[in-house]
Amino acid sequence: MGDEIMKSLLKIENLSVKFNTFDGEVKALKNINMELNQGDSIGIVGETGSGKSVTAKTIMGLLPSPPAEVTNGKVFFENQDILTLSDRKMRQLRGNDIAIVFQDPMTYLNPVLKVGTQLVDVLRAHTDTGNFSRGSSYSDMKSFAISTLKQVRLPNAEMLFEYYPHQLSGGMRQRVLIAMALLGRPKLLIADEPTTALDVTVQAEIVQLLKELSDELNISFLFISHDLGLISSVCRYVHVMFRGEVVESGLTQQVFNTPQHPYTKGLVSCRPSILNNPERLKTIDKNLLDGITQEQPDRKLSAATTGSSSKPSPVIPQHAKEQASATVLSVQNLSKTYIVNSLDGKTVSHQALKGVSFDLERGKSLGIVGESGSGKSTLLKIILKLLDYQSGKVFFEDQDLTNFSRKSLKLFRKRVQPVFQDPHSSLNPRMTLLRSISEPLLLHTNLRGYDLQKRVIELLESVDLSKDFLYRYPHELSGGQKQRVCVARAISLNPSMLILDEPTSALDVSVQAQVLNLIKDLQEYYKFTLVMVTHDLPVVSFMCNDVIVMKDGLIVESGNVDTVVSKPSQDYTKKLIDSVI
Amino acid sequence: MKTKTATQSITAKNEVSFSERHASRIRSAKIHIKTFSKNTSAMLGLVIVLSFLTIAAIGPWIVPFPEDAAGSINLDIKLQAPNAVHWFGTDEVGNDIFTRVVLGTRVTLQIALIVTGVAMLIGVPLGMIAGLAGGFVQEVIMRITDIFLSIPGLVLAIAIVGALGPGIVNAMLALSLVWWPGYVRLIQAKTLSLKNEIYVESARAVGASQLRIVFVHILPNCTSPIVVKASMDMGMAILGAASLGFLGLGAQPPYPEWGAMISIARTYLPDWWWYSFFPGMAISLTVLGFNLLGDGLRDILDPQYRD
Repeated sequence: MGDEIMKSLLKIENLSVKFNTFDGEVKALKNINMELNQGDSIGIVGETGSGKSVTAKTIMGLLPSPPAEVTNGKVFFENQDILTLSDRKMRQLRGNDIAIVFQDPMTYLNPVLKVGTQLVDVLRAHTDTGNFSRGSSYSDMKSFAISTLKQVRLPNAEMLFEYYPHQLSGGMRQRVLIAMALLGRPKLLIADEPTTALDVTVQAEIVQLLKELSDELNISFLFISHDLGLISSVCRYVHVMFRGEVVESGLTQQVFNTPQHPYTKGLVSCRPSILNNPERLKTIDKNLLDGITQEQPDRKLSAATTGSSSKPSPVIPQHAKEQASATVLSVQNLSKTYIVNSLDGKTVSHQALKGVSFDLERGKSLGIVGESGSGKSTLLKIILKLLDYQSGKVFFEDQDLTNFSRKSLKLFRKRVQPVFQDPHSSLNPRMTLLRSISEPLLLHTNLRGYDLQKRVIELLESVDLSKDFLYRYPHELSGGQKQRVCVARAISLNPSMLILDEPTSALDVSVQAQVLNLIKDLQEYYKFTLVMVTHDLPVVSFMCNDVIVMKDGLIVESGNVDTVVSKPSQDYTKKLIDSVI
Repeated sequence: MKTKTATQSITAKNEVSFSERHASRIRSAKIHIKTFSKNTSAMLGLVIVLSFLTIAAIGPWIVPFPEDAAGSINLDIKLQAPNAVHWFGTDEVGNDIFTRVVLGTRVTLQIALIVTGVAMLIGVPLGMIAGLAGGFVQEVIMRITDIFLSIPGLVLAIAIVGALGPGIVNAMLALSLVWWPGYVRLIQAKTLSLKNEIYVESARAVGASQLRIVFVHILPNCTSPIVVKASMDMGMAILGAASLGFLGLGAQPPYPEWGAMISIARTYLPDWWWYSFFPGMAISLTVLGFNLLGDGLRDILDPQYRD
């Protein structure tokens, strides 16, 4: 083993994994081959169901079996086949030589134990093989843990050692998890979507940290993500996974600049960018996707292209169309304070909105951008009249939201429709799609029976779903399909304003492109006003005319999207734009 | 053009067969059946419960001595050990114990069904009101529930029967009155979590009334825990009814109720063991059956185990 040749750290040969489910075998991995040399970093890119997390779990020996079963192949770690190792040996390897950082820092720390206790526990568990022998004192372990916390650039590491997880922010927790993974001084660190659950500005910091650590400590990374930009900024070499297969591998720059496989091509081009967006996003070839996700083809709505219309006719006449004012929504100096009773009997108030004002013209689309805690969701709930507020005024079509009569409230409910963030929980699991979509129609129109069903079929077709879906239940649908059902339900009453709460953040990028195109087409056809809350600046830049940037309950910057994005005037906006990789 | 395509799709829709229309229900039923049938103890519970149900249904026509149910007196054959004619032996006045145990099944299941049913009828609406209304209403309902839960159920039932006077109807009434708090707790917690679900919120945002939200969105999603708790409670209610009978507060002899039978048989132990053994076995078996069934149902209905 000469030093001149790079030592192979991890080698995966012809690995196949299957899951035994009720509907038969599901092949999660099909003949995967990968190699990672010491000190190098590779990335795995793929979407839901591509098998990237199964790969990570197989390497860690954490596959739940049954139902999972390794049918073929070998995984070598330092020339040792780790699939054949005993549980005991594997436990020594895990945490010492191979460590993993998971996606969601909120759930991977035990809420009832102090951060320090959890770190020292890791050291204790590895006293046989790790840096500490059985007799090591607590204070030695503590100081080692604190030094590791400092290594992940956590300020006041001594204090943090005594904190409970809930006292830390999401970014800090992810740093603690990274520190925990570093405790055993691993040779290989698997990062499974380490930044997905974090705000964009925090994401950028974590990525920077991981890069620095790999140089500093000579750790090899296996970086798993659905985000191409992220991978390209971290890894030299990348594997693109699709339906359990590696469809393309190579140097990161090469793969992204000149993708070969149609899936990679689609993946590279289907993400909206922050500037110069096309009219419509490119989508991945439907025949390719049909295999797994059973997504319907992306087609430009026939109404616009061919003239023959399969579009639902507006059942409800577009009343307020000629209404005098061009301003649909007007928010004036809106404030909202949450009052929480804390355990010691005192009341704690939290000001979520501190005087927010804006106007929105008919037919325009407005993006509200902000990170968690910026008050954007509170604002959205107030506009939907799901939440009361303390001061300020909100007008919808010149009517004050607080002074609604019963009748005008009903009209408001009809004219303003929401689409929520998480498609998985926005449909009642016990209702067929027919019943879900027909709910607003039942409440606000006289359509019943045959006519109702006809209308629902029209709506389904307008979001590119066939009538076969009428009697399906939500759990049989993919995320993108569910979100399209939600859109169908929202447009069923021909609303004048559609309110979208992070409509694509729970979806894969390729599906996101389809949903965004769909909403854009529908807006063109129905001319509704659009309000969209998101943390994703490129999505806003693709979808909206105007943008509002929010931070800590205040509007930091607002104006035309292109202007704001190309010439941001505030530091926070600049930071947001910079963190988009 | 447009109307034509729409009409076509409708005609096509009307030809959809029953099995296509309910394909997903059939599939999930298949999964449930498979999971359930793999679970040996749950199957055992199902078999026990089903056989007791059958016995309760056809009991009066299969027993050898139907007249013994009302308590006839044949002192010449009293306290006979189990034999070919009297499979479970006879009691102190010469009644066939087999006949009385079989006929007792119907009484027992009746009590169990009524007690759980009434408890559900009281508890589920209260829990839902508490969960949805919140604030003062919730406080009042939940604190009253707490008070009921803090008193041992059977003791309270005894007190109620004591006040109303012994008898099978009063026993059922008393048991129902102490049984509902569990349902309030269960449904209130479930409602609290369901009312924050996005689909409930979006139903509110499209203008669904409170009643619609309750009956279309919340109640159907509560059925699984209700079914599981009810099947467990059946066993407990049987035990409760038997206890009241045993204390002489439930069904009165010579009415063929298991608890009441054991109450008398107790004095004939241990020499005439069969007198209390067979009603006792019947109680244990039914309670065991309902509990096993409840466990199995929880395994398939609990969302945690869902695919």
